[in-house]
Amino acid sequence: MIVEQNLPLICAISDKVYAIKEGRVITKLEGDLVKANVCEQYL
Amino acid sequence: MNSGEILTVKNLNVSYGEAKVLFDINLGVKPGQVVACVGRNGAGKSTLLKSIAGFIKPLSGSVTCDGVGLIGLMSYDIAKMGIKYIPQDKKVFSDLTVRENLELGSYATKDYNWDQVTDYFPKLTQLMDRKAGNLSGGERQMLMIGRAILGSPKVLLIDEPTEGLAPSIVSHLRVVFGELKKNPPW
Repeated sequence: MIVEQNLPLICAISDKVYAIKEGRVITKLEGDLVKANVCEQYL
Repeated sequence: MNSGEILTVKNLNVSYGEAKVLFDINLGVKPGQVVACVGRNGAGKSTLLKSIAGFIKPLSGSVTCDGVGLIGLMSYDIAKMGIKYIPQDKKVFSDLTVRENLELGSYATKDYNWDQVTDYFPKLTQLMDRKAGNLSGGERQMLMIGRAILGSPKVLLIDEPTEGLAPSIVSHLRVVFGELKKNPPW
């Protein structure tokens, strides 16, 4: 399990991404949705 | 255990004193999966990892690994169970050499085979006699990851491993994480 801001790295290695905002999981991305341009909106 | 998950977090709530920082967190990690948490600074990502690793006592909720509850266990007992936390601050035993830092990892895990560590991070071989306090940030990160993979951990909890590192080191870590995923140390 990895906490990281480097989206290209995350998208290269992750099966699943949880986006956390203000202490809450706001979305879970899996499969084709694990892309930098999708994850970027949660940073 | 839930749906074959090795790590399950359910309804986790965490606060620092009066300030609540995590609200009903639910997530799961299956064996061999890489699961990332993204979010802005202060979102609670590091707090989540520290809570799983036993450094912060949650208000409520559960964390289980292989069906064993982790809440209330000491961080060193959680580490002994094979859940290794690699903190963001890249703290090593500065007055000890790289070799001595790795020996501590071996002593704790009874794993004295460093082949995988030096395969992933050949540079550590040249640095064995150097004090860890004199390593660069990238070299420290290699040492921390190397130490963490000793003893065939079940779960690695890695907090912002590339922060402040040179692009060449980041590229190397990307390859290492990819290899760890393909050939996990457990």
